[in-house]
Amino acid sequence: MLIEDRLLEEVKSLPTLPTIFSKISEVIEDPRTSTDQLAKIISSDQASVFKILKVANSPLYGFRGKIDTISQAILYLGFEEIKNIIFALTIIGYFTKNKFSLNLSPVDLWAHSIGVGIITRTIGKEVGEKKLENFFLAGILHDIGKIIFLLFANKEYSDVLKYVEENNCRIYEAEREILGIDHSKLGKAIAAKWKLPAGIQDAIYYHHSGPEKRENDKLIASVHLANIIARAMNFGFSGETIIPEPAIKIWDLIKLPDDYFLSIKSQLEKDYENNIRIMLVD
Amino acid sequence: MRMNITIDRIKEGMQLSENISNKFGQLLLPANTRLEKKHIKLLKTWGIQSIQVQDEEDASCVWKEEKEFLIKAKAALEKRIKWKPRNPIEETIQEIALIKSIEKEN
Repeated sequence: MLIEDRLLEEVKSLPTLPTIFSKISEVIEDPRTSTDQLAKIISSDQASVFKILKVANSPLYGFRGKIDTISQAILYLGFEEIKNIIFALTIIGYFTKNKFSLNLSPVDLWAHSIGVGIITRTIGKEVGEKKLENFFLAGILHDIGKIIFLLFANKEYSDVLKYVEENNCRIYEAEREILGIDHSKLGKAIAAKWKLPAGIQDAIYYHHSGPEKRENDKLIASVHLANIIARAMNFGFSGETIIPEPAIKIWDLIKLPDDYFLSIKSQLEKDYENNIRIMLVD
Repeated sequence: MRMNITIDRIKEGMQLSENISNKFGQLLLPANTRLEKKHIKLLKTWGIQSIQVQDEEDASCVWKEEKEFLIKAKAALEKRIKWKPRNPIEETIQEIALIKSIEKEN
């Protein structure tokens, strides 16, 4: 069986996410759910509550310190945003529990992903996007394919990283060469399995190439750009030291002041440090 | 090592090895001041003819080190960035990458 097929099979057989998440998903889908009902379910896991509130209170969302309860968090941020924060925390927690022995540590990769999540959301807000809930999560999950590779194709992935070093190419090129599939395609498959919104699936799939005249082009462009900025800022490690060239078409979609990134550099650093502490430390 | 040099040979970056006072005994500049344009102007205004500085070599050595450091940082970055900026915002992205790689080295 081709590695590619095997990986897609593994994706299908991935254990379902911790029950609290599927319960929450169900409840949110139900239009009759009240804030109180949702708050009750979430609050059943005290450890999660603590982390969720910390993320909700991070400068990223602009409600510094005002949110004391899950009910308030739902009120201020909305169902979708809270669901996505819980999802992000669940995934990161779930996947960091596993130990690997490669030059690409999952913790560094998650740090990079969290950085991308923060920057994606910051860009989305700056360009006036109304539906911001998916921006943070899309950024965090853009490299989920690499995590799956580390989990299920550990040995082959060290060949991939070696290939990158020897040929000075992009990771996705080495992945295609050695594994027959790259992390953006695998990432999209897993996002589809988890029934994540189409926008997030697309953002994962197109995060290298950039927007392709799709509905969620602004989200795709934001993740694409955030990935580049996160590398320039040395947020975590994605497995490559290359800082890729932005796809020229993003500048038509995302209008930013010329000095935008210089002006938000310290704020990004603070948000990053803050979120790493909340999301990666137990 | 100290050096006595005349006012017209003074360069920015040189470091005073003694206090400089005017003819009334008032302190103009304390020892160890690293000379900037404004200091040199001040000295000329007060008609100071010569001053004692730390050996010239010291000053230029530090500068050379800093410059080499910048050259190294830029060279390291060239391995990571293989594209030319096409607009001002792309220029700032490369600037940030340079700033962050320097911060990292420090």
